[in-house]
Amino acid sequence: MKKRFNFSLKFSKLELLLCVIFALSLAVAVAIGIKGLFQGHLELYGTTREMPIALLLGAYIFFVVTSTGLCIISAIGHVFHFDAFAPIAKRAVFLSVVTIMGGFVCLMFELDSPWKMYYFVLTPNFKSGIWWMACLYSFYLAFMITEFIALVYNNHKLGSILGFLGLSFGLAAHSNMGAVFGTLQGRPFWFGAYMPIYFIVSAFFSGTAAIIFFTYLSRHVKQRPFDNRLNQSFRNLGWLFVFAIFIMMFFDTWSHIIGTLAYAGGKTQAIDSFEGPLKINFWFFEITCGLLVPFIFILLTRARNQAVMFICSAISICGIFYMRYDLMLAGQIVPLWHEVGATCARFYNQYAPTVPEMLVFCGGLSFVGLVYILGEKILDLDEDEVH
Amino acid sequence: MSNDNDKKTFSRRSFLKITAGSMTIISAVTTPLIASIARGVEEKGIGKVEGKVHEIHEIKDFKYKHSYCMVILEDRCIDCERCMDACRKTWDVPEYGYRTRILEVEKRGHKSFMPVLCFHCDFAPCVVACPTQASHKRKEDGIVLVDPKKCIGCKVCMLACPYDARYYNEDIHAIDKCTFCQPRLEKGLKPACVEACPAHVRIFGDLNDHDSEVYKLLNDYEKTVRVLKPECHTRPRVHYRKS
Repeated sequence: MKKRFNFSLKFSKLELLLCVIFALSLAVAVAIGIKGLFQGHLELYGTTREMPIALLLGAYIFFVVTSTGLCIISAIGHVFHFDAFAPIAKRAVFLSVVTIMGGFVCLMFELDSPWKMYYFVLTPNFKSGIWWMACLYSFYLAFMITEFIALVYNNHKLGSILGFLGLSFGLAAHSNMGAVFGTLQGRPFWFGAYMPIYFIVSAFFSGTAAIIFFTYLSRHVKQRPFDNRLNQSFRNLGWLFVFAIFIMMFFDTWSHIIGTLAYAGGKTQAIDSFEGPLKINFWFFEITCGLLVPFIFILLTRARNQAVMFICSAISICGIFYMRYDLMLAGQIVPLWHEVGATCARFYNQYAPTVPEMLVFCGGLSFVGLVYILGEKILDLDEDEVH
Repeated sequence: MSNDNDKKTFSRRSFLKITAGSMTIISAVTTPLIASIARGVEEKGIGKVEGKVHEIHEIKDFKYKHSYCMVILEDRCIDCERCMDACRKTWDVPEYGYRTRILEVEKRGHKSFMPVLCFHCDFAPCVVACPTQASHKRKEDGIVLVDPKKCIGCKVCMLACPYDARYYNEDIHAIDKCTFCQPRLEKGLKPACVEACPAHVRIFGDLNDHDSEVYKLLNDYEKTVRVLKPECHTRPRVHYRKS
């Protein structure tokens, strides 16, 4: 019988150093956030009237998409009982809870007046996509936490039920988040039914990249070799990752062909053309790092080389972050009065993240890093052999 | 090993069960629907007009006690910005924000000026998007307002508004926007921008009053009246026409 908790924490020097750096970074983010509450975001952040949401909301979406993706991956093993994915399920559930909380760190400091949040309950607007998103994500988080507790106590039957509920609420919440953008009629880049579907597909892709990254990392941090089951599971994950990238490529190709052919208020020009302001983000980070490099290298190694898969997943996660960041910018970069012919709207809106914004984002990442290290140390995130 | 195989068989079986169950539910729901569509096609015939024809839902008409709206005579504006100054002074609008502005529009070498403000849309996307009902539309006169005490600063209304009518006011910790000078209206005054305009560009009034200037301007069929961004289907209450 393995121990469920291990409170005799023994850190290596590197782990201790990382924990200190992460804790300091989180403290800095909290300090900036509190300063923002009093001082306002006008001088602190780079957001403007023209581009009211940017890096921090992109970061929130990055974390939340990853969380939903991890929930989907965990459900393959735990809820639908595909044994090939069972060994990574517990870690995936844990990470899905941690990543969404990292997202909340960014969101909390992105909102201008978060202390009035109780009006979500006092005067709810049932027509609002954001209201539904918040409501569904609260249930999602509750189910994922309870599922994880059930898994820690080896109650797999209860874990499966809670996992199914978590998955259902996660998918509903996540597609709802897509709908928040998809229902904005005044923003042609986002408007349409594509967004909710894209968010779900994208979550599957992000979740696969994240679980490959963290599973490999945990094995090497703990210096525990891959056993046969985990080896097979990891290889399956590799193929799943290739499949997810292929779907993303398919979605991206059609979205951009249609966006370019059917002129819709500069819908894709900002991103697509070789002259647009987001050209480097798109072609280098999103397409090359996010999709092409991992696709080619995992295919070439036939998902057998774990180190290559780890590096590919890390590169892909960087690309995925740019996908979220660009998604936020591209929707707002074309000035609203451009089509009217206003002379002030001849040029793309500009945005550059400020240092405090970047530090808050680093705080979100640090939160994930810190809780992940502590989780690996205190809890046993490896699946028991028999359940 | 055999245990593993049993598990695999079980997992595949349970997966098949789940799939079969889902398919049954989907079929149960969709079959009557498909049957009714097929029956409809059979009864009416494709492309025929006989048979039962379903009426398209009429677009909701808003019945306001005061149907406030503004007509902007766009060829009159000289960009003196007195409207902007009046608005700023009346409502203490900070330097970094504005409730109304004048756009310089250049088309085919011809330059003109276009005042813009909150359009108080009948189908206001900002009101739909707001999660806390901070943005709301008054039933009595159709004016879109923001309740600062409920605004959490999520800024989704700024994204939802196709007319760039909103900004975040750091002083009141909430979104701020044009209110058609609603407190002034209650005192029987006109909006500050309307009063300040020397060229009589902005005409404000109650459409329920058939003697009002706005009613006459909008019902003068010799001139084309337009709204901005009609493709957004927001039914704005600010209209543009030539004088």
